[in-house]
Amino acid sequence: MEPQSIGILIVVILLIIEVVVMLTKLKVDKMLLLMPVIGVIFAVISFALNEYRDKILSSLSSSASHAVIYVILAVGVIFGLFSVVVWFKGEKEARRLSSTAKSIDSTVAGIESDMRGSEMEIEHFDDEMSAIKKKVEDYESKEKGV
Amino acid sequence: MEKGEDTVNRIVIGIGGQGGIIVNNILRMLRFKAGKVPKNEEFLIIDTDQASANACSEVEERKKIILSRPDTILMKNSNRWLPDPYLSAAGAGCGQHRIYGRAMYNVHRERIFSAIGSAASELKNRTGGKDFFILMVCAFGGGTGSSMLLDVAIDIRDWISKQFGSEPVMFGIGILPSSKESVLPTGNALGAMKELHFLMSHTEDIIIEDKNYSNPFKLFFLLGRDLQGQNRDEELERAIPRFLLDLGFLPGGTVETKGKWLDLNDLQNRARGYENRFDSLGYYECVFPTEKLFLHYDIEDEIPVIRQRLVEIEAKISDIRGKIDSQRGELERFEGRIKDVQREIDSYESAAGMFSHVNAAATTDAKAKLDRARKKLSGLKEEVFDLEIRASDAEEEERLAERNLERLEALKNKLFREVTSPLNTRSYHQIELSEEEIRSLKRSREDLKNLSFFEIMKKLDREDEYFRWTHSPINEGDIIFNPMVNYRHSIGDAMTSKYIDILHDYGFLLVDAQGNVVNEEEKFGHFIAVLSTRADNFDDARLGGGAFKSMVTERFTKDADVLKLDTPARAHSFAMYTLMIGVQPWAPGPGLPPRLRELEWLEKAYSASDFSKLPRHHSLFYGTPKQFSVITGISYIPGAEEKNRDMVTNYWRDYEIIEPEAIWNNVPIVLAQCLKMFDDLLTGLDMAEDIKNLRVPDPESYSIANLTMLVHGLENASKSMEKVKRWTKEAGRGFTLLKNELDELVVKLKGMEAGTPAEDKAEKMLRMIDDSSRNMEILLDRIEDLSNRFSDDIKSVIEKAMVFLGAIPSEETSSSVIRHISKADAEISRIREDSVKAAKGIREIGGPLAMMLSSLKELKKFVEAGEVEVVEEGKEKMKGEELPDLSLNIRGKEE
Repeated sequence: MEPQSIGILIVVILLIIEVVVMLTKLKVDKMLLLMPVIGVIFAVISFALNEYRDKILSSLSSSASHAVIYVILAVGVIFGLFSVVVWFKGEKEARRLSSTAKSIDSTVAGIESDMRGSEMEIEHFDDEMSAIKKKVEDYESKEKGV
Repeated sequence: MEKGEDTVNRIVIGIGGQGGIIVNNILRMLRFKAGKVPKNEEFLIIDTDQASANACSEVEERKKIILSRPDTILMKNSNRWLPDPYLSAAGAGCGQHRIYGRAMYNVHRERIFSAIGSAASELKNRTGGKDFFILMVCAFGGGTGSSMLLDVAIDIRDWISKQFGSEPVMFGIGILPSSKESVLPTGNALGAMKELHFLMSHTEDIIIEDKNYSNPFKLFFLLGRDLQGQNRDEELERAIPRFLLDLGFLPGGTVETKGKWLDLNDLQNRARGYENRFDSLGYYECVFPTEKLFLHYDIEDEIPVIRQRLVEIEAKISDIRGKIDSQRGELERFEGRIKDVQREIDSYESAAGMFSHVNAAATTDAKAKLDRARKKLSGLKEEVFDLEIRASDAEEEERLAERNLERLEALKNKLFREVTSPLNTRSYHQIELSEEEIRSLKRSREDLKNLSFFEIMKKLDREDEYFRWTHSPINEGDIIFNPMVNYRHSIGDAMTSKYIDILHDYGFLLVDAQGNVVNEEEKFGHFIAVLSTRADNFDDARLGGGAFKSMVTERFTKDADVLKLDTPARAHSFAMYTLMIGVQPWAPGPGLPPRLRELEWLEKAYSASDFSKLPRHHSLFYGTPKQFSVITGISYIPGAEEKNRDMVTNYWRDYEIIEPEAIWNNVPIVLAQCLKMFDDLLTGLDMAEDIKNLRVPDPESYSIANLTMLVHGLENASKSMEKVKRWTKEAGRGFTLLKNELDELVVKLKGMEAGTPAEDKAEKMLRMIDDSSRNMEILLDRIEDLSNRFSDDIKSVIEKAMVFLGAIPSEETSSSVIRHISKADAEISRIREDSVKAAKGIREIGGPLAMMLSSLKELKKFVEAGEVEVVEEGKEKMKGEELPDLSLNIRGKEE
């Protein structure tokens, strides 16, 4: 096998791995999965054309047949890359929303704990002022006793 | 006080409103000092007023014997003798009607006894002791206490004696009304005193129908509600519990004392022989205001701390308020934010297809967080609202705390005022401290706790003042003048010096080197002063207890004691408790005020009630005519309730609070009044006689100077005549009064079985009677002589003057002479007119004088019944320059 076919095969394999990963790990939508699959198909066509160039593209000149093969491979790769880009964008937006929600939640929790602190402080003041009142009453009752 | 187990059972019974208050105060003080009531003490109250009983919060409910008013039918059935107007009572309780109180007692007697009996049995079971000390307290002015006191006392004494085999020791405390109280309570008090005195004077057992009518009390203390015209209710209510607790008559609340000093047995021994007389208490205390000072210091130190804290709290609250405002804004902002994020999530989720990617797990997580935040937010919005309210409340509280701080500041200032300018009374003296002293003592406040009163005063360089307020009342004898009742110790305080001179001349009283009257007859029985303080506050050399004892026994009491009570707890107080045993409340003589001044307004109020209203002031013997008859010897008619009741009322109306033997002490005073009146009369007659000695110039020797002299002489004679006319009128009244006093005295001597006076006294009295009789005979002769010739003498003087005036030559009648002649004519006609009345007055004096002579003879017979030896002695006449006062005013300077 010539080195060019090996290169195309590697691209095919990478695109297949992408499909598998997207399918299994990233749990993407089926419609989005279609794109790398199409990319794989194009890459496979490109591989097949390269292997059987002499038979299928014999009518074309050497450079023209190479151009056809590379264009088809490029389309396949573009499909593969585009799907990754779409996935990445969706993922980024999801993370943003999630972190916003998280920050809202934690800020509200912060306010809550602040309020708890204020409540406790007020409670403490109440106690202190009751203690002052009691102290004054104690002094008053002591004064009556002396 | 003796240490160790005390098995004498003590029952304190407060009867009526004030009695209940006193018992309540005792209990409060006992609980305050000891924390509990000792097992050998029981406190009961008997009241007819639910409201006043409810006010006694310290007394257990089961120990309150509250007597409800029965209906009129039951009342009448139980008390046939009760007059219809008294079948019900107005106002609260017994309506201040003692007769109603007695009727109530008859209705509720069994209930009262079951309560007291069960209290006594409980005590006996608890302690195992059979000896009882019973203290009864009541006011004499009310209806409940004053009416039930005697019956309860007699019945309890009998019941306990029978039940436990030994007679209880009973003390009583009676509170007399003030001079400002109305007629009803004031009259009640005299009624109660009469009945109590009657009972007290029966020292031997008189058992009638299984009931002993002898005196149940070993000591009965009389206390007044006003002293020297000032209301002392508060002082009284405080002093009685202190007296009983501090001196250990009611153990448990007493401050710790060292050594034995005076106990119930000692006190009974000292009171022996005076059970038939009243007693009183006195209280005086000098204190260094350590407690007030310490409290002042504490508050002074506390105020800046509290103020600082309040400032901090205020700042923090305003901080919290700011926070709340910003939090509220934040919450609102986040509410909007949540909505936005929610929208974003929704739009993110809605994107689908080949060119989009949705991370479902992340959105679910974000949504969950948003949900949680939303929920928290709605909760927090409510909490912010609550917090705002709480912050407002805290602000309000802070304002209240500031007001409390102001109160504390006011308290500090009050204490400062009390320390720098205390309100001292006769019975309480607090050492006054200057601002500088307060500051300087603060520096050594810890040392102050350990120093004695004396050492502190020494430190302040005020030693002399310390002795003046603590030791001098003893060595100068002031303490004897501080009882909680208005009592005159000496006849010298009440009688004018002329009478004292006469009594002194006849040897009835002595006058010491300082001019103080010394009279054995009027001394009361026993005076005990208990000085209670920490031992190092005494300075024996300065105390002069021996000198005090001899001074007091020489002038005021038959016996006296000064007892020192070492009370370690009283480091900064010097208390003096006094007991006056065997006082004589009655007047020392006719026309003189009673020794117990309260009797003045008591008698006045009592006499304001006519016979029909008198029963409201009395209680004892109503409904028990047989017992009354046996004791008094006055016969009764069985079944005639009304007549028997009136007989009892009559008896009480005429009853006098005086011992029969004391009547003899009145005799020298009445005779002294006679002798003084006779001397005064002689002086008056001399002056009347002097009028005729008017110098009339010879008509032949007319001159303007002689005319002027005659007019001047006539003016003087006219004035003298006017005086003599008025004086004869007063003399007539005075002699009539004196004769009445003499007759009353004879009646008393007849009626009270006073016996005979002592031999030496009888001799002196006879000498006085003889002198009086002889003076009287001389006076009668002179009156007869003077009245026969008075008119003629004056007529001859007038004629001489007329002759002189008629002989004035006509050429001499200038306008000035004419004025003189007119003046002389006017004076002559006035003299003529007044002389007729004066002559009549002089003649009329003879009437009562002659009657007095017979009264004197009768008195002499009584005196001679014991002693007949008469020593004739001449008596020097006392002659005054001015016309004497014949209004029979025997009372001295204070009147």
